[in-house]
Amino acid sequence: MLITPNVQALYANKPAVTYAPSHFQDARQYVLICIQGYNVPDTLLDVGTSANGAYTFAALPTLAPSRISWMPFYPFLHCALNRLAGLSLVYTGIFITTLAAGVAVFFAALTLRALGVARPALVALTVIAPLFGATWLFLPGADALFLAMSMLGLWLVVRPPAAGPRGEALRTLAALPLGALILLTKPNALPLVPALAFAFLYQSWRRSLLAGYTAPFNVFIADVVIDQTRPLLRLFRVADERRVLRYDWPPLLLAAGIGLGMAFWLAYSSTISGVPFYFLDQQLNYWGRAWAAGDLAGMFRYYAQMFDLANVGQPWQWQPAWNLAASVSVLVPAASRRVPIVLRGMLLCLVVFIQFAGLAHNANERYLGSTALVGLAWAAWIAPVEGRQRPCVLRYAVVVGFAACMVVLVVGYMFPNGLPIFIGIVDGAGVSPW
Amino acid sequence: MVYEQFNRLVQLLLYAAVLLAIALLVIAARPVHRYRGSFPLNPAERAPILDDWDNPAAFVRVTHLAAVELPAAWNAPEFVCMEVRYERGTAPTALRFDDQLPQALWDQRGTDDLIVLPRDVSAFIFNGSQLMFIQDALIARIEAEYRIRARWFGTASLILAKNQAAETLLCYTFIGSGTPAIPPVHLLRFTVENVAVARAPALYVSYDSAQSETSVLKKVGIAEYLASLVMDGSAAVQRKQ
Repeated sequence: MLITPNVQALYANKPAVTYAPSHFQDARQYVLICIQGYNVPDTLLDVGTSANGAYTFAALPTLAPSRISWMPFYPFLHCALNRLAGLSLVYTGIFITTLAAGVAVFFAALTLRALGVARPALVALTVIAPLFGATWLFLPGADALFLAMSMLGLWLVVRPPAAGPRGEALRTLAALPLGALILLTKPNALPLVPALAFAFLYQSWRRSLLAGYTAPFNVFIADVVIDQTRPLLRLFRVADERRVLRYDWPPLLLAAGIGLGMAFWLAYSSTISGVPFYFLDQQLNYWGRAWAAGDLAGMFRYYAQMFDLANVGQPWQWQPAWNLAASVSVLVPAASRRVPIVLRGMLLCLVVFIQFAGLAHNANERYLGSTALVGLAWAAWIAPVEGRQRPCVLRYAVVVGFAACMVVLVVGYMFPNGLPIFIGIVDGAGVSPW
Repeated sequence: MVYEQFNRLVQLLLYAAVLLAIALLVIAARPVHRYRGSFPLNPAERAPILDDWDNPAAFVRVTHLAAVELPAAWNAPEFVCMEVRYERGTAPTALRFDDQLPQALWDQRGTDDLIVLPRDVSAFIFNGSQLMFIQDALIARIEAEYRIRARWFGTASLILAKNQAAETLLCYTFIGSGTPAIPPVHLLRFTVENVAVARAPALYVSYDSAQSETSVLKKVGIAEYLASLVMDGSAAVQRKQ
């Protein structure tokens, strides 16, 4: 309700736009994928004239934007809703987004209950109002659907093992295709992989403890490596002591599904374009990153731009500050003992991976702050602790207050000014290499 | 099922997923040769206009290629004229890439028909002059003078439905800084609308030029040219009764 009039105002003099939120930024691309399909920028090398005048063609498909960067599951739902239910494509996005936000809250409540968090139904509402990133969830982009899909995945990960073998098999097997679908909703699923690897190890350790295993977590990790390489050890006649290990496979299968989805999308995009690893090529060469993976010096240079006092108020100064705030704010629930350990460990993996890979993008709050993990962590952070039923009003005020500030900042200031745009490390003249 | 068996099955599933991912990455790593651009079209040859993966969107055939001279008293330039026959191929239709498609059009379904617009014949020439189709006033004068009725390219769009063909008479010259004239060498490319064109046939035309391996224009008078079309049973030109 807050967003629509502000976005609509941006298109006041454009009769081609009926409902502005579904025309705004990424939202339009998803609809146009349903209508026009994915495009590969034209590579015709001819340059000449037609009866209508001069024209040229771009020479390299890798340097021009392609819709291949927008993943297919959300536009698939657009098409399905339009073809099966007859709903106009102008409004399918807002329908799916609203529904997805509801699904996200529902599964967040189930997940929080499985984690033993008090008042799960109430605090689950936090997942659609995190400190950073909440705004995006209400635009008809893929963000709300990504939140719902990954929330479903996390529920599958943290819910207690099913009572019977059939239920456990179903829970395990469902994780693989679900992981692929999460990736095919948004590529931001990739940073979840190390977090899911942590969840696999931690939850397997917990299950093994219940089955009689006694060693601490770090020894358990070594035991997992030994257990999984046992055929190799036998080959070299290395004697090993067998220990009671119980694995919790869904996190690992969810991660494998994410990897499989990525491999599929790379193969598909490369096949239709003719460019090897085309999707990755687009991400690196067209959209760019703040710094190259592993370039810690680049990371420091990027964040040091905050202190460019000669250019106070410039986008290349406040964007790193904003991105750093989004990352640092995640560490608040990650450091809180109110939050279940499995979430805290996963959060740390998520933040470290994003910083390592240089994914502090033009909208880090969108890629990090509005993920299922961060939403769940804030929900657990505001939930009352054991033995205390009254909610902590101050914690509620922090979450709601910051979310409201972000809505005002993003919708009231950034969108009307064409922001946020991606700015990486700038040179001395304030020019971004991207 | 005992726990060890279940464990073994899940491990096998993980191995299968990893192998499948590796196979997909191998596919992703291979550069695919997607030939794009123009390829030579010979007169009287039925050449395809190709969608991706060499799927023919339409076929085009050029006949009766000539440099046509109008009566000197008309004070009109020479034109390159040819009869062009289009046929619908098998490639599916696709909307032209448009990042600002009005929302009022979002729910409209596309058509299976292809369409040929004036912009679908484009010329490539390096002297900076611009392609110009024969104008309506001159068309009216020719039809009245020589008692013919023709389907002139550029005056109306051609619709190509499934299993249908359409013929048209294409006449053009080039306008530059001086008087309109046919250049020594030019290239004419044929495309169609409502489909993703990857490769298109192009006719290399020379006139009063030593350039080899091109379709050399021969000069004929308009009366002789139209008579030859009618005599050959052209579908693009009919004699008025």
